[in-house]
Amino acid sequence: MKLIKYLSPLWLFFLFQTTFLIAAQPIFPPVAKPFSAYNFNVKDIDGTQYKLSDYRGKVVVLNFWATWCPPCREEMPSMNRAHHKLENDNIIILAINVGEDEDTIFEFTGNYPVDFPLLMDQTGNVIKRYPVMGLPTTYIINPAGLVTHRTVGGRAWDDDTLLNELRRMQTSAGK
Amino acid sequence: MNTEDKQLSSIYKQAKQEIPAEHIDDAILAAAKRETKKFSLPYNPFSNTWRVSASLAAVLILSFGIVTLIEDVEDEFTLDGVTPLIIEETESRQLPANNVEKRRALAKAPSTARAKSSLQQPAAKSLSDTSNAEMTHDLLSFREQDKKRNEQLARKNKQEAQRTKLQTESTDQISLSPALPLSSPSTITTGIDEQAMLPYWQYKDEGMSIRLIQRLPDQTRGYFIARGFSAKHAELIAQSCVFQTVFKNTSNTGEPSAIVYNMENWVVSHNGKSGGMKTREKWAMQWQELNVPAAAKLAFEWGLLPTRQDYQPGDYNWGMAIFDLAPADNFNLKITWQQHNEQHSVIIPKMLCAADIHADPEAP
Repeated sequence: MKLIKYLSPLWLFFLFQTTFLIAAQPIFPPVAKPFSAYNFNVKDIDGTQYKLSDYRGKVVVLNFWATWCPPCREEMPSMNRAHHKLENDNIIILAINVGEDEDTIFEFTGNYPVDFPLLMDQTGNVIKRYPVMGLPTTYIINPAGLVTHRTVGGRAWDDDTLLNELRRMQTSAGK
Repeated sequence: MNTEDKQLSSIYKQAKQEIPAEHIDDAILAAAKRETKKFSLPYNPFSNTWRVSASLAAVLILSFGIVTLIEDVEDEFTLDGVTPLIIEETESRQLPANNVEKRRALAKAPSTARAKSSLQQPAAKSLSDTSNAEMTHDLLSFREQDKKRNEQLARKNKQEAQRTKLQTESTDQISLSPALPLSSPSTITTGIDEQAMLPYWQYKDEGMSIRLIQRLPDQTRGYFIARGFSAKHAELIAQSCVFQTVFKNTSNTGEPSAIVYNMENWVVSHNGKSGGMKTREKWAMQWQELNVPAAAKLAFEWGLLPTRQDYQPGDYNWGMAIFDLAPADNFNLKITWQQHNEQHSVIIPKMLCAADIHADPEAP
């Protein structure tokens, strides 16, 4: 009991310090200089046309991915959960598949059900308009159509801290 | 009880109870206090400090242990959660590993036939033509075959690793540039990747980690043929030296700092000669000359580790790193990057390209 008495304050101090360090990390790394998002006009796997400018006024999470990319596959379920959590927040998730066809993406959705639009960039024309170096890369586009943040590699997109940050971006843009 | 006992008992009962005199009692007490005083130190408010110090040390050790453990678990999760190699095995399963003619024949087959024969890319429309039961049976059968194939490959690779003294985890001497702070706990490790069951080489310090995992030439053939390369062109890649690579900025767990690297500055040393990496840009020129289909070029481009990249804390990429060497070649790799406003470099010694080995034919 005495040992617990001595350790308790130190453990609390340690926990506080750890929490502080974690909280100090930026949730989405900002891009060095915000830039205008390329206004693509592409189809999804069902043939529906999607134009980025249709989402002006909303925060858009734009993900570049491929089915063969392990971190892309890994983050897709959490992205789908995030989509459902954000349905009433005016925040849109769009995932652009790079270089693959409908059949490949359709098969992928058999194993990884996705309810947000899966767009296709078979020729690579869209990805070339963004400074993507590796997959997955995800951009956050603000309601004014500017790319403000970027993440490289998979994330747990349904994490509440991360979702609240997106909501904050959407709310602050409306003010 | 006899008569004598009874008499003795009555005598004891009649006798007075033995109580020492008060002055004797006090004398005994005083003597005892004198004796105990000899061994007690004078009162010191800091006499219990060692307990606090010991507690502090225990907390620090436990904290360090937990943080290290969390970091390792995170690594394991990220590296081993889903690996491409199992899927690529699935693709290469379609190509008899030890039968080049069959592989070439399959490559020459119409693309629709290839798509149907590949588990990775079955035509979605054909799903409606195939009953679920058949599909399930096929999948289970494929998975069993893949499992067997993986086990065979694992055995062969373990033998290969034993031959090259790589089987057990080992820490090599690290060659560090003067710019790398000597205090950083950096390590190079080699071993067998748990998922790929192939040898890996890993460098890790406080802010960065890179793991290069061997890829078998046959995996590479299967992967690229499934993405539109001809057998001839896939062979060009397979006969190079390919590693699946995971590059991470891990500084989000410590002092956050971006990483910038340019693979064109990395140096490959083989047989006393030094050269550069074969980047996606160099390959792109070659594919242009060989008129490789656009879809295949695109898949190749994004399948490789970026030539240049900047990673913010927590960012990472997976991708193939291709060296202009042959299967089974040995080499040293010098990696350079910038972080914390400093130039860092490390030489990973004695790396080994995967040999062009083939799995044994399936037992009937």
